[in-house]
Amino acid sequence: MSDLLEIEQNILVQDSISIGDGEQYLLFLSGGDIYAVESSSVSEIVEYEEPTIVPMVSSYIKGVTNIRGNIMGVVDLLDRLSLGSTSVTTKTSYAIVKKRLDTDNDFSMDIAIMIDEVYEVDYISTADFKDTPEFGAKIDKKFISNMATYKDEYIAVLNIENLLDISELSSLES
Amino acid sequence: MSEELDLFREDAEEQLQIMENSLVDAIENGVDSDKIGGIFRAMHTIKGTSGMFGFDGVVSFTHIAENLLDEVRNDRIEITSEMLSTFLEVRDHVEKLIEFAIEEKDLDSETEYKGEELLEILMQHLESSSSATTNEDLETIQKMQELLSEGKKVWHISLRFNENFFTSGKNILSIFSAFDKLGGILVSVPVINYIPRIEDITPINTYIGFELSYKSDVGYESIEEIFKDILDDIIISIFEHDDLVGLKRLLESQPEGDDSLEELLVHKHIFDVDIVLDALIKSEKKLLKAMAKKEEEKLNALNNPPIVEEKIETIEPPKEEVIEKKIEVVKEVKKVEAKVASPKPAKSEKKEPKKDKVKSFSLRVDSSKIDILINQMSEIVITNAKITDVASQLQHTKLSEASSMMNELLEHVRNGIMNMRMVQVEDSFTKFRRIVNDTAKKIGKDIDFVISGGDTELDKTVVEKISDPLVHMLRNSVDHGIEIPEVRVASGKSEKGRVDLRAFPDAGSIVIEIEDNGKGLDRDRLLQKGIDAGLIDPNAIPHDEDIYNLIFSAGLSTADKVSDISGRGVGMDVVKRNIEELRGTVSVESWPNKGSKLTIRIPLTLAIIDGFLVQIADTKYVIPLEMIEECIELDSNYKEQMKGNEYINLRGEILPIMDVAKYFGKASKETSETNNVIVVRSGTNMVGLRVGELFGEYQTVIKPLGDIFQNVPGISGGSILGSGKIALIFDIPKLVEHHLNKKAI
Repeated sequence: MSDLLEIEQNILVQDSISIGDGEQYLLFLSGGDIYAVESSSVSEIVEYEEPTIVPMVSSYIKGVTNIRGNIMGVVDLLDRLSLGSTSVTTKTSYAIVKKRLDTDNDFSMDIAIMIDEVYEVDYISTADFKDTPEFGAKIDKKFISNMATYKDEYIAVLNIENLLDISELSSLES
Repeated sequence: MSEELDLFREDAEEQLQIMENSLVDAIENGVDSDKIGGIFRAMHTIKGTSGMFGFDGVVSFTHIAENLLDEVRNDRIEITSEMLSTFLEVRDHVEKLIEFAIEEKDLDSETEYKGEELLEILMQHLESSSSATTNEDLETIQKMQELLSEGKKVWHISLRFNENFFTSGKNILSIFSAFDKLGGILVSVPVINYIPRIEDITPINTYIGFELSYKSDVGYESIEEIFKDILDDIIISIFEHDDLVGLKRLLESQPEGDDSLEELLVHKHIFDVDIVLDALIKSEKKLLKAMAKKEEEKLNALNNPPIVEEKIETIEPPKEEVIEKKIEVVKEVKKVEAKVASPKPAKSEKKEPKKDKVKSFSLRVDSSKIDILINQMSEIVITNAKITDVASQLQHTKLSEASSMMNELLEHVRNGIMNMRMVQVEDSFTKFRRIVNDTAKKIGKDIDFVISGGDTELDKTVVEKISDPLVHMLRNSVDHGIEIPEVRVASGKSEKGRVDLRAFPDAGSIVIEIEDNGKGLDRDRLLQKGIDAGLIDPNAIPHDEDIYNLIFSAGLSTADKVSDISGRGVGMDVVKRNIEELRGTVSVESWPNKGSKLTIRIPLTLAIIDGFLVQIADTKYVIPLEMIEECIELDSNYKEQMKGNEYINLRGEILPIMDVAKYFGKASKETSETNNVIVVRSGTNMVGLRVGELFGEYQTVIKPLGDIFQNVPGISGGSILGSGKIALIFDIPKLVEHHLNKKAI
């Protein structure tokens, strides 16, 4: 839990100073890979608690969880990316991501994404962005908005819109 | 739309509703001063608030209506039923005007025409009042008009004496005699409203003043000359009768909020209403103030007859100043005032309304704020449950006691918060009066509409949502239930039909009944229709109840001809669905030639659910209590009967059993082995739900699961348990419906 707090403080500190021309990203580990999401779309990182199972939904919807009195859907990131399923450890966390419901207004809903471990909150300069390769990535191209180099590693910046597409998430298990 | 505008709209809607209720009540039960007062207040408030937003169209229209109402209120015009229906139209028109104003649109030609038409009618009534004034008054006015049109000078003199005028040794009479030399007094109105009560009068003081119309060809200086010796002892303003600026200045010089002078000038016909209003409009801040203040005072006057007020005053009123609801308006005015005029702090301080009466007041609170409180409340309850847990683990008696005490207190607070959402159904029920009366009139029926239990309290959102279904059912009762007078007489009933609308609390929910004493439902016809539509097995002998409840099936109408009121066969099924969405139930009873009764049972509130907590597979579920008929145990007896079938014989009826875990595809050994069956009723269907462990009754706050779970059949939301875990809430009708559909495929 202590490292989570640190990260949150990190977010706070870095919020106040602007470094470089890039956006701030939350970098995290899932299934051994590093992924990035814009930190502006992440409202908080919460300790994992076993979700309540909801019947008949897709396998990557793990159920619902109670985040300070609000009921949120839980999405297993690895399962969503068709990379198996997240195995829960003490470091497993929920990244609470805001998903805009409508492009025209500010209605948004929070969704809890299961991740293995928080890695870092940092700036990624747009210069470090690379185009998504046409093929070859192990996850579906639609889930990647950009590739980026970060500390000599190749990481995927996730496309939240597609990753949390409500009509897909809400479709029932066949 | 801005927040203020929202408030305005809300308030206007409320006022219009009050107006309508009072009008309908007056039409039905006769006019009394309370009702007229209510109507007047509504018009007045709308005028005042519209003025603040600069909705001139609304202001000028309501102003005329208000004038007429004022005349009625002061017994100068006798109100007729014709006038009452005009006021109903006025109400509708104002509603439209406000709509247009809020949307900042120009009036369409229809509305404009209607407005002119109504204004004409109102003016006619108003004129009839003017002609009722004494001939003497009329003569003076005519004379004044004549003089003015001849180009003669008519002066207006407003005269007040200082209290110690007499001690100055001057004589009022000498002034009046000086007057006569220079011209003639046309109208002389004593201003007497500054005379105190008899016990407070000091005999040597002056308390009166005069408003004079004075005909004289001399100039301002000559008139002022008359008063030159006593200028220190009087307050005087002199201006030509048609000098708007002078009038404006005079009115502005009045103490804040004191509009007695305006009223006097108008009522005594010294000035025309329009002129006074014009002058007031010239001075914008005064107008706004006048409106708000006037409203407040009139409200007071209406709410408390003056005598009572005086009594209260003499018994040293308590110091607390309790500000009633309408104070909002005054606050608004202050804001506007600050914008239009240079701020005068000293003055606005004085303006703090002095209220001598202690009244309970109401606040308008955004319901979402209450929702947030409710949410946080349940969070606190959960947190406290954790404390209780820890206390029992530590075996700390004192901590346990404290936390259980806390729990109890929290329960009170939660109930208190819940209570804030509750409103009496009275207002929304009275709204139906007009609908029932209009409908009845349209089809030539005479109906007594009796409302009872208006003080029953219900969650505001439920009240709003139940309104449409109720309207539909009431129309049905009037249209199909009650017969036309001739038929009623022929069947030995009173000519006048009767429709009852009742509300009462019953076992944690609210029951609303609509009963008519009409012809009742046509059983045979319904049965035939039911058989035709394949809803009823032609060979079965159905219960009357089942037949009557066919009216809630889609596409069934027993009306021979479709009217624009009802009879299209859509409706009752929609009504039923609407009520079920509120987690309510509806049923019908009927007696040939005696009438029918619709019974609606709805929960007190949507925010809380009374449920039964059960375990199914890995998840806990809440089944709404009102859906549950009974719990049975699937003993070996039943199991033998089943023989692999999914139904049992429950006291002679076939009861389909639904293994929920299996249905959800989460079957595990343990659930299949449990023998608990909860029998739920969804409409006419009874289904047994086979579930796991039973945890008993459970009251909880419903929370949405979010769009991700919108397609999950039969789950309507979630609830956070004391442990912080979530239980899912069943939507039984949808669950059963989905199950049946699946079976059908």
